[in-house]
Parts: sequence; C-alpha cells; structure tokens
Amino acid sequence: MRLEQAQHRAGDAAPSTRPLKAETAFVDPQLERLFTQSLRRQLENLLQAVPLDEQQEQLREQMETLASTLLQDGQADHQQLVDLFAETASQLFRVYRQSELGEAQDTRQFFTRTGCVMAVKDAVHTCKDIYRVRAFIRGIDQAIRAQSTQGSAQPLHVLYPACGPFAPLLLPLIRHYKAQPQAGLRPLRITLIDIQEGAVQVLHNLIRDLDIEDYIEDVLCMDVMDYRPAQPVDLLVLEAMQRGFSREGHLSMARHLSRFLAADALMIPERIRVRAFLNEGQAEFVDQWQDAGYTHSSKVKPEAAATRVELGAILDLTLDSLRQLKEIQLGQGASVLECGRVQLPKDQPDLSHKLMLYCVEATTFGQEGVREYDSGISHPLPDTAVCIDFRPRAAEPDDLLLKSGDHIQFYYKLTGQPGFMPTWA
Amino acid sequence: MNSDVRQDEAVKVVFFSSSLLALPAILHLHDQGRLAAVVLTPRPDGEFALFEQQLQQAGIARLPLLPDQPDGCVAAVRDLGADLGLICAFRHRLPEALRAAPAWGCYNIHPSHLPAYRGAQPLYWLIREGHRHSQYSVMRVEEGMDTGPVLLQEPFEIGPYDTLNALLGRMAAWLPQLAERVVEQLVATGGQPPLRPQAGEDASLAPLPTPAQLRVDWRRQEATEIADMVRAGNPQYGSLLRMAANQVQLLQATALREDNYGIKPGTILSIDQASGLKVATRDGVLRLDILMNNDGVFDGYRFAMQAGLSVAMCFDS
Repeated sequence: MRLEQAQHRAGDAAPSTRPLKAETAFVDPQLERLFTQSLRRQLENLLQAVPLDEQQEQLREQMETLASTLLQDGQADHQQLVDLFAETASQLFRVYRQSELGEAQDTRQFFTRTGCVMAVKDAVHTCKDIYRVRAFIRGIDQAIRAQSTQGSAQPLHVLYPACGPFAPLLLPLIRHYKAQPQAGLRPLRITLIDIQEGAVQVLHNLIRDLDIEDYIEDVLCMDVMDYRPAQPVDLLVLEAMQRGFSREGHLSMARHLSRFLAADALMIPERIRVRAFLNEGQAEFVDQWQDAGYTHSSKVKPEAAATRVELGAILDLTLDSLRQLKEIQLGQGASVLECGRVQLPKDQPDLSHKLMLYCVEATTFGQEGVREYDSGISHPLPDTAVCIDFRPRAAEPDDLLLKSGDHIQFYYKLTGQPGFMPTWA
Repeated sequence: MNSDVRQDEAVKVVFFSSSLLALPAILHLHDQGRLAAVVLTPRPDGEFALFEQQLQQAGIARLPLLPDQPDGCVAAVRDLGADLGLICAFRHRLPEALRAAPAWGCYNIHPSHLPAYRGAQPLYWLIREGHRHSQYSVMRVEEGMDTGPVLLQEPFEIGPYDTLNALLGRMAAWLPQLAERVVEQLVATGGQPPLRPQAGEDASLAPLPTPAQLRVDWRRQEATEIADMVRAGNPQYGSLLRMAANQVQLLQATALREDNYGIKPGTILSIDQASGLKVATRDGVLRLDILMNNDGVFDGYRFAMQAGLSVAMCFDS
C-alpha cells in the first residue's frame, strides 16, 4: 500500500535519470507526435529562408483558425483539435525559438513567497492543453460579450497575471477579434504580467507577430503580488494553477488582485470547485487509462468511478467566496485559509487501500469549463500524507493518521508551496 | 644527572604509522639520526605502497606488525633498544607488550582536544560539527582508546573552507615540529614527564562515519550542519543525497541566509544558471555547489539540467 502511495507522491523524480513519467499526462500523446512533425516542417521553412512576414502571416492565420474553431458551437472532433493544436503549438514555438532566449532566461525556475514559478522552457507547453485552452477561449469570449452588453463604451481592462510566454488562453482570441472585428464589443485594454524575463521577451515578439499591439495596454515583468493597477480591472484571467490547486500562487494572486477589481468585474474561471475523494491509485491512474489513448472526463471508466468514495467539496471559489475566505495567521509570515470539512465513511473495510485525491473542476464562464481529467489543472492530485486505517511502515513527519468515520477539516496553505492541508477534526 | 637521561641525539625513536601523513615527521627524525625504525601494518592500497616505497628509498628500517601475531614485532623493537614509540595515523591498537617495548613507552599524536573526539576520525567530526579550532594532543598510550594522560597540546585553526585533506596536509607539515617537541620533553625529563589525566566527563567519540551518517537528513539538519558535513566528507566520504531510487554524492554546499518560504525541507527551491541549485532546509536554504554521480562531476545547475530536476521536487530524508 505504502509503495503504491509513494509511486504517486507528488514531486518524486529520479535525479540521475530523466524524471519519471506519470501514468496520465495532460497532453494527448498523438499531439506530441504531430507537434514534433510540425516542428520539422518549421525547421525546413527556416532552412528555406521563408521571409519573416510570411511566417508571421502563417502564425496569424493559425491563431485565427484556432480561435474560430474553438468558438464554434458544438464539440469539434478530438482529432481535429489535436491537429489544430499541434500546428498552433509549432507556430508558437517558432516565435519562442526566434526570441533566442539565453539559457539563463530559458531555464530559470524558482519559488516566490506565494508559489512556484516554472521555467520558460516548461511553461511553453501549456499551449498544448487542448481543453483548458478551449474552455478559457470560449469562456473569455462570452465574458467579454457579457461585459459589453451593459451599454458602456469604456475600454474593458483585462488582466492576465502569470500568463507565461504565450498567454495562450487569451491571445488567440484577440487575434481572432483583430481579424474579424466584433460589433458591439467594448474596446479591450489588456495587461499581461509574468515574472519571467524570458517569458516577457517572447510575449513582446508574439504580440508583434500577431499584430495586436493596439489591444495591449502593458506587458509587465514583475511579481503579480507587487502589481497595483492604475485602473480597476474588469476581467481577471486566472490561468494555471497546477492540479489540485497546488504549487502555484494563483489563489494568493487572486486575493491580492481582488482589491483592484471593478464592482462588476468578472473572474475567469468564475468558479473553481475542489472536491476530495478516495480511490485506489492503480484503478484511478493506471487501469482506466490502459486503452484510452488520452485522458478526458468523457473517458473516465465506470469501474474506476465505482471504486471511488466521494467526500465532498473542500473549496468552492468564486469572486464572492474569495473575499470571504477566513485567513488564519500562523506566525513567521505563514498563514492558512479555512476550507471545507468532510467525514470519512464509517464501517467501510477497504479504505486503507485508497488514496486521498483532490480534483479541481473549473467553470470558466456560463457552461464552459474543464472537468476532471480534461486538463492539466483537473487531473486528481493524490495526497500521500493521508493514511486511513493503516499505519505507514516508514512514517513521514507530515503524515496524517486517520480512521474511518473521522472528520477532516481542510485548510489551504498560503506559503511558498501552496496546497491543501487536511487535519483531523 | 639522572642516569636515565640520555643525550638528545642518542634517543632512539620507533615510529608507528602506515600513512603518508606521518612521512614528513619520519624523515625529519631520520635526518636527525633519531629514528630506529618504522612499524607498519601492510595493507593492499596505493597509499601504503607509496609510503613503503618512500621509506625504502630513504633507507629506513621497516618492521611489519601483524595484528594477530605481534610477538615478532615486539622482539624486534626490544632488540632495537628503542627509547620512545611515537604513533600517528596507525590503525591498530598496540598490545601491552609492544607499548612497553620502548623504554619510555609509546605516545600517540591525536588531532583533537582530548578527551573530546577520541577515535579514528577526529578531524572529520571536528569539521562536520563546525569547530573553528582544536588542539593536537600527545598522550601516553594506555589500554583504552585515546584515554591516556596528556603530555602536551598545541592549538590549530580550522578555516571555514577547510576539508579533511586540507587539515591532514597541515597536520603533516606540523608533525616534525611536534615530534621534536615530544622528544625534547622526554629527554629533558628522563622519560618521566609530567602528564595530565584526561577529564573523562568531557570525553566524546569520533569513529569512522557510517553509511547512514553520510546521508543528508533534511528533516533534522540545518543548512550549516549539512554544509559542514559535506565539507568534512569532501572527498573521502562524500555526503549522499537520495531521490526515489537514485543517489548522488554532494561534494560542496553552502548555507545561505535566504527565506525558504515555509517550504518542506529537501524541496528544490530554485534552479538558475547564475545562482545555482538551491534546496530548502528546516532553517533556511542550502545551495548545492558540486555534485558527483556516474555521469561525472557537476555544478548544481548543470546537475539539475542533466538529471532533469525541477523546482518542487524533493530529496529524500
């Protein structure tokens, strides 16, 4: 049991080999293959000295195609999306490569007081997360339209913090607006923020190549926690918390930025719901995906779902609830937010074989969103510190020993390593 | 004049060592005409072979001591009519007959402020436990390990960047003077110098570090403790880091006064070409400067790139 838990312990990797591959990944393996083929074509283009303006035109067309396809009602076929994203990713990687980041800019990764900051070389892959990009593009489009129906012609201040080198959840949509001006939409003034100098350098080049400078108010290289906008924010785009709402500081960012939102501002996602459940690691992460090809909520197998023990919501985040979260100071700059409380079922014999898992589901706007396994953010995150009805042979200091029937009070840590902290209640 | 008091130049010293560390002192005594022989215990390694070769080239008599059959060595030392036995970096405890073979007995040169750090590896533990100074102690050899009464002590410094080899090198350079002082004191007192018993309550041990003691324990060790441990182990013992099924030797690390943002000890905090590979400790931050595995020796940044590490990964405790 403990071995199985250890295999899923977050952050484990092999220091003298390549990191261990997770059983599940947010990028469809086929997309990776197509992406590689597309990169080869890009290389051929470079070798054949395709003029820059032609490459820029290809990029614009690709981003327009991506956005318009995603905005069409009705599900696009998964295979079509894979092809589309592979080509889009390769176009974006062309911009990334041509930005010629130094190694230091490309590989630097670190923690701030609110969370982890990915290296640019890793952050570029976010653009391959098909269903996250889809949910955000559709959600943001609908949110902008909703904000534009209120009669105001004032510019809409859109803020996208920690946006990475491609700001992939927004810029394809902006290119689409540029190519096909939308009647009745308020003018957009977009502020993009990233703490990585390399990401900002790529962003500048991408904005130039997309020819969307007139939409961009500012591209700032700074810690979001130090940002104080001159104008209220109308639309806050909150991108990339890791699975289980862990590791990155998006909750702290949202709390900080909530002070600068306009009265009728929207946050995208408008709702983030995190629930806890129990399941066997093998069934959850391995068996049900053996023949799946890729992970998606539509492919969750009933057999795996049947062995789950749902515990309930531990965090339900909206703009309103964000402002009401109760912060508890722990001293030395650390604090926690009080979250939900659940109870383990009584008299269930097999709990000792099950892992505690946290699963994020996000509603970007209206009916749009990501469900479990749709995206990198919605893969269930195991918490191997929780030991139910068993005592681990090799105890860890942060182990939480529980027994069936116990109540669990969850807190959310606001430290450099944010995430949920269950306690016996 | 006491009849036992010999003329300085007539003193015969038997030196017990199997280490190159003692070679400068041995050659110094040999040059002074005081060295009767070197007692050594053969072992199959390069250092011993070089040591023996140097003695041979200098024309120094060598007496092998077989730990299970010491009688031959005892008889040989007696036959030499040795006055004094000097011991340094000798891995075997002497049987009573051998300790008593020289007329004035045997004295051991031990690099710690006895009674602290008795045992085989005092310098390792002095560095590891962050000492900035200690003393060479010369004590008369008794049955117990490093428990005999002290003849003299001389201070030495331990610098913030000193490694075990650095201290051993300085000790080797200092040994000729120390050996000379021991001989002078014994000659001046007819082999009956005033000795100071060790205060047993201040005693501590300095054994060879075990494999378990060479593993970095992120839960319990603070940044400075780990950095000192790594410095003490560089390069003979190393310090082991583990992640999953893999391990790597840490050869140099630096404790930093930086915020670890409350992150779990052992977690990688940053990977940066300029500032290297930093890891959270229970009290702050440790920079992993030099690491070694089967692929080679790397600085922290290159190791992280080579091994595919990323922030938030965690080394095992």
